[in-house]
Amino acid sequence: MTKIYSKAIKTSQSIQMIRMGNIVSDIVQESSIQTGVVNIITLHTTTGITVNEGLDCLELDIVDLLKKLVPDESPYVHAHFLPSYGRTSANATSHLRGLLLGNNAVFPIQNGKVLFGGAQEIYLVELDGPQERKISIVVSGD
Amino acid sequence: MIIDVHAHPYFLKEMCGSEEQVKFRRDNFGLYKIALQDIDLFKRQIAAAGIDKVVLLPLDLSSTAGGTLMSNHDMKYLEDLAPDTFICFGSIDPNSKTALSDLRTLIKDFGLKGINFNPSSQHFFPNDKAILYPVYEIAQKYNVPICFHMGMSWEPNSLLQYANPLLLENVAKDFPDLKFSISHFGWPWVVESCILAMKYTNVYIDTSMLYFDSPREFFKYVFSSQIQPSWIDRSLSNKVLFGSNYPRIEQLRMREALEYAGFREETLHKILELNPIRFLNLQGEYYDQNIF
Repeated sequence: MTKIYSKAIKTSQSIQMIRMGNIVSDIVQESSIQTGVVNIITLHTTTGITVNEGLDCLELDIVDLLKKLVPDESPYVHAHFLPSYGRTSANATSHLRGLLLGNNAVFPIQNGKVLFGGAQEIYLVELDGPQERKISIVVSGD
Repeated sequence: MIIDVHAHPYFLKEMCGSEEQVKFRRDNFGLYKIALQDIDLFKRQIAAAGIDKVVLLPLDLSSTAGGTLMSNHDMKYLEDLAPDTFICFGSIDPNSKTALSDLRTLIKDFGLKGINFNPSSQHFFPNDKAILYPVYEIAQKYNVPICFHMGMSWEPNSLLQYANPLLLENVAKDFPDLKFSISHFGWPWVVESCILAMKYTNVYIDTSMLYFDSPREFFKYVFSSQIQPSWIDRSLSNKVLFGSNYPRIEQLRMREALEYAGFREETLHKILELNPIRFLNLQGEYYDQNIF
């Protein structure tokens, strides 16, 4: 059996790490699936989904690292008027930082619960906020 | 009190009544791919950019497109939804027979805070004495500021022949107590815009310009190649207004670009706060008037 859920999340900062472990756990419980996997997938190209330890200090380090790897000041080509949009693209950094994080995470489900490691937290990483973001959560199994 | 003097409300969810209405706005404003967003999200974006208030600009395109991008009635409704954040202007179609009565309604009935004109999209010459001077007389009488979109405009039906800032010189001279802004820095006529703002006390310029490259790169080009940062610091620090042109670009990025443009801190303070407050007649509400 596979069930697909969607979650809308409003962010409030240009770069922001949003903890999603509890949201995912609640959805898995709602699905009634006992054994299987859950996929957490962002539907955007300027966000990331990643897994790390849920600590404030690490969140700051991750954001600092993303800014260091993809600096604000660089002659990005994705910085010009886009006629099909009617506006200027100015978010190359958001796309490139998202590239480093990927768009999904997957976790096992055992006995109806998400099988987290002791330190694991699921993050939606906003890279071009504030925006309203849509996350797809796919629960598969029996 | 940081104020963005140039933003458009056309895609705020609360103000989008039907798909047909949204399509009209997309087609005539020329912004084709943008998700509708609610006021709560817009306020989050404003806050993330460190902005306290936003001037929202409608446009009456009755003669050239058969409708308004947003009516004055809707602008009044919108301001009432967030009076602490929104400063709503109105718009009239100068080519309409009801232009003057519409203007009086805009000012006296709706209490809107300014008038927005886009000569290149509305197809009029702003120095047309027969059509426009009665409008300017009323605006001057009631001390209502005007925003003129000059220079390059992205709207598909806009024409540059109406958009040279020098078309406003007679207006500046003949209506010395009428405050108006030249939006988009009048780009590419940046020098012409600076000349008018330097010569006439009632002329302001707003920074809502982004035509090539990123906001930071474009501001660097304009303020280091077309003119010099010193022109603003030394001669025009009291005449430049921060404007973003949201939603064609995020306010946060335009704010950052301004901060990186090379101006003195005192100049930035004026552009972001003091000049918009003076332009919008908000001195009594927010500031010690001795500053002005």
